[in-house]
Amino acid sequence: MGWHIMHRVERATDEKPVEVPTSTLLKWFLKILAPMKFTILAIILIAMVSIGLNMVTPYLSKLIIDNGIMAMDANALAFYVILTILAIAASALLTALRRYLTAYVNQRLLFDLRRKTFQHLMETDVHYVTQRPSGRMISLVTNDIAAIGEIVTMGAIEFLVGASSIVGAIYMMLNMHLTLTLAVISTIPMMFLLTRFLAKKAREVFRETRVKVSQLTSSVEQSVSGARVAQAFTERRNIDVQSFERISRETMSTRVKAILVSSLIRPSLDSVRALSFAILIGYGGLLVASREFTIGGLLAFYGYTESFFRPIIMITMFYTTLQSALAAAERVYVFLNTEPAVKDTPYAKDLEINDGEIVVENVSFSYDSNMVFENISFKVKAGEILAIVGPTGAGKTTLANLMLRLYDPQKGRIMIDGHDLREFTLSSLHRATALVPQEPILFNDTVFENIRAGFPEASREQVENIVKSLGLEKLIESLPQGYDTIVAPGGENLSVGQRQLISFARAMLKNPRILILDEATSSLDSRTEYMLQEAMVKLLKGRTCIIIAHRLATVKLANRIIVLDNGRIVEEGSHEQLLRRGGLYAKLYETQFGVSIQPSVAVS
Amino acid sequence: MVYASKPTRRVLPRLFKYLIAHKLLFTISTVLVVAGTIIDLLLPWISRDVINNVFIGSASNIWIYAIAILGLTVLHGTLFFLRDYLSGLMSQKISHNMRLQLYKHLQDLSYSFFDRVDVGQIINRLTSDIDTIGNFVSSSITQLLSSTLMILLVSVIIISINASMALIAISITVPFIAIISMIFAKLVRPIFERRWIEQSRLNTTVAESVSGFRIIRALGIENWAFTKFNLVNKQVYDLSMRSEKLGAQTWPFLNLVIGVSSAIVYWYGGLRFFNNEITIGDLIAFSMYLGYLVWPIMSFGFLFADYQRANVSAGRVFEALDAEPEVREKPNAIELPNIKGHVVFENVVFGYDPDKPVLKGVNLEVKPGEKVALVGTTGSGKSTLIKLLPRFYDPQKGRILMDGYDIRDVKLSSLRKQIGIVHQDIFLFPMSIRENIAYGKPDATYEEIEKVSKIARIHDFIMSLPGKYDTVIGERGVTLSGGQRQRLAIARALILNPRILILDDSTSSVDSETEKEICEALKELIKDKTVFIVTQRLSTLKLADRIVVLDDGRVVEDGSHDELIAKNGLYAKIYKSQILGSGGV
Repeated sequence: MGWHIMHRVERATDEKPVEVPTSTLLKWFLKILAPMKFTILAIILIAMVSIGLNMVTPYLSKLIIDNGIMAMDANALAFYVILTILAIAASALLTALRRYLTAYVNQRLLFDLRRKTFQHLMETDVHYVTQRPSGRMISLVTNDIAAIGEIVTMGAIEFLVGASSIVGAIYMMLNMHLTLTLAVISTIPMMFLLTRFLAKKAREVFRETRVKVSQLTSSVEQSVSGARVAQAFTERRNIDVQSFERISRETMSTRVKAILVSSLIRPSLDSVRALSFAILIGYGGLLVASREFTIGGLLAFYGYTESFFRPIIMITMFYTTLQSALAAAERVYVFLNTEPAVKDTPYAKDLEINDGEIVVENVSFSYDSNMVFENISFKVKAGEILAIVGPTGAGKTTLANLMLRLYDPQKGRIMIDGHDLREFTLSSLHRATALVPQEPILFNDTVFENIRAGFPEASREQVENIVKSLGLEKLIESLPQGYDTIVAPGGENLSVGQRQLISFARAMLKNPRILILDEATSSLDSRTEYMLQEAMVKLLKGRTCIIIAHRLATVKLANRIIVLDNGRIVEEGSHEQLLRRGGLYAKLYETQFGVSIQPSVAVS
Repeated sequence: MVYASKPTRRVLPRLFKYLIAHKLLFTISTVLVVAGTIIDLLLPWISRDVINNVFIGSASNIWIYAIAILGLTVLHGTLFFLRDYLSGLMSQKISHNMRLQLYKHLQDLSYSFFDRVDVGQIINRLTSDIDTIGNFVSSSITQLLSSTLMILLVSVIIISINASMALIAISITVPFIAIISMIFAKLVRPIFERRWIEQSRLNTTVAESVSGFRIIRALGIENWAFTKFNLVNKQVYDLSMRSEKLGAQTWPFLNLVIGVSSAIVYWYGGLRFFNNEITIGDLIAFSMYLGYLVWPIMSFGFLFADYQRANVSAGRVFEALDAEPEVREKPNAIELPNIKGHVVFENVVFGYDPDKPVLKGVNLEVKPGEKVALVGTTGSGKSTLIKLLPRFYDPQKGRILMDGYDIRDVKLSSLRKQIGIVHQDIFLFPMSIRENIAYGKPDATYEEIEKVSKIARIHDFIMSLPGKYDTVIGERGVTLSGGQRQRLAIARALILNPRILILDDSTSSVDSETEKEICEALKELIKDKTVFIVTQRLSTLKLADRIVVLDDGRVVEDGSHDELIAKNGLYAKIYKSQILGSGGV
């Protein structure tokens, strides 16, 4: 399993900690929370009532002690005890309700974010996605979003609730004893400074942690995808183990750093709280001893001190979780705000493709700095079958990418029925076109669903018809459960040829006006391919079709052939014309059919 | 697809083993917990003394008490900081070791495991499951200890303050809390299990959408993919909500139980105070101690939930660790000596699903140095047959001999390093071209790499790239064309200089001119090697000196090109259709 260079790749792409201002992120949170504002409002209301109750409880204990116990009044004692029980019961009910609503907001947010991220993924540039380890995307949709979720559970609501209980507690204390209150709350500024310091540290380490988690996920994903290759190379094992060990170890040490920071928080805040408590005992005790304050009051103060330190500690702890969440949110935010380069233009319309005439006009295209085409022009007539041949790396697949607007050319334009591709909405363009790629990708679903993916509204009958018209019933019959056979992850239980056929049926089911076959039958045996071609003759009628092939047998269907070499069109014409010309095509043809095997023998 | 088998049930004893491996860290954490808990319990005791003193109007030593409180708290904080840090360290170490162990085990598992278990599940196991376990083992167990200790000590203390009051408090709290926690644990476990499965499916769906990204975009089926994703997304949401709801119905009521018992204690204690049976300091300390029970008892609830979660995760991890590779080395496996390349398939029967054999009794003998082309229609079993050679799968019946050794009797590595295989669909790693070619021989010299690249006719292309051999390949090699990737894979296989070379339709995307060049260059290199060529292309057949035709999992024809053409059987038919397909020369 080989991804030992993973972290290097990560560096090569753009996996470094990103920094987004906290205020931007907070605004973004507000925006995504907006649809749930009534629930959030309800939570806050419930919380306020709970706080009210919480404020009453320490006072009730003061009343129990001072008016009940110390005053030796059994009736008052029983009365306040019952009141206390009622207050606690009400508080428990409200807490249950609040917890439930908070969980709802939290889970709903996760659900929405996952949905949004995936939706955005579906609009992202092909280039962006294919150039990054897929583990990164997985980590984004799962790990990072899960980390954001914690913001809400402990988050904004806890903050508001906490802040009001602090105010409430201080108010109640001030009513009982001014100087004692001031003495007890004198530690708050210290608490504040401490919190800020710790939060800053926490943000740094959590940012690093998120990057590491993503890298770990990537490397795991990579290893699983490459597991079959790695099996064949036994010498490799130790290296792979070592590199996995390294990335796992790095993850570990980053996390240990984060743990160091987060485990500092609680004890340091507890110490500050203890300082307040010591002041309360010392100064408060003196006051009681000199009869300036009551024991019940002291107990109530203890309760209030607790009820304002608890939220402060909660907020601080939350603030560190928030750092982790913010670090994760940054990544999600940056992804969601990556504008795809290829997207619907402002002037794009839902256009019908009627004729399917394609014009490629002065198109230049390069991947990064690698020039693929320079100033290429050609035309495909409506209903024509055009073959594009040429050596590997000549740019044939790139041409298919451009014609489907998976990429935009840097210069020039491509037109269908006289409209620049950019005048089409992507959905209207892709509705009328279909691609059968070289590498048939099947999904971990039934064969039926895999075929239907091309046109999800299709009925069973339509799927069966297309399979029949392509002459593929035998293929389906040969599968263990026919249409209901589950395609294994990566399509491993089917041969590449079988996968190509399914991918072919998937494209044809769309009934496309324009069909692009990119080496679509390269792994079929010649007999199966021959039969498929027979079927295609009928099926291609009235469609514009572009066939990219190395196997010149495949090219037979075409009316016209374009020979591409080094990003330029070097020859063009019918099969006969090109053979007669004796150029690159003729040479390719000869090597394929003319050399050691004597074709004339077979045909006779 | 969900790897369907019941998760291992008894995981606790096994988890304990991981803890034992870090006994020093664990012991220190435990000591810190005990010390911290005792300090914790001293605080109400001091308060009790203070209150009893000030009640009688004495303020002597009050500041000493206050400073003692502060000092003890700082000490307590330091101890807990160390505990948190050390148990965090321990959890990370445990996770790291487990990850490595699982990783190594995955390397031993055979193809069939990866056919069955999807990417998402494995990712889940290696990342979040292992983290869950690490956290549980380290922090939850010290937490459990500290909570138990706290409850025991508090019980002892409150009993010593006032036995009858303690009895009341305990009899109200303990049964309620125990019952609530048990019900919760019972209900929440199946939810966690189902959520685990859905979470894995979520991962798989994303992984699949990324690998199939281009086709999804090209076919314009983003909505289809999105609907599929959102279905799983909704499932995860529903299940999470169900467990949250359960939590909301449970935990606040634990607080209620404590609160009520504390109020009752005041009432009962107040009456005792009237009779001078208890001091006011005792009463207040008693209620403070009762407050100390809230967190430990609640933490039992959390621990229950954590335990359930860890149990599900650990079940999944152990399940993978316990998965026996179907292809296994015999304990007495011998080192396969350097072979000549004599291969015999003896009545080989194999199916991915044993009930549906793909190979239905293949008999085939290949002499050292022979070049055999395997020909047949799509699905006839060609690729499957050659996957048995490096033992990616074992046949259900029959055997395969290599130089007379049953390949099941030899060490896997000694077998596989003598076989070079170029798969049908090429997987390249996202690293540099150099590293990809030298994948199986990481210490290969630059000359070796260049030599095989030249044979595979990819050298010139590589030199035309800006980074030359150090150019990094995109994840699925997308910026390379199909033909370029195939050529890299050929170079990757050749660098091992294997005795047996398997080309599984490995030039299907290479243009015929280049293919011819590759074939010519290969001819020299493979002179004395045994070669299996699966191909659809007649032009590649010329590398072979013997053609074996497979149909429906059996060898139906065997001979030279001319012999088979003369026989006018399936081969002749396939051959003709290609020639006809070419436009009828």
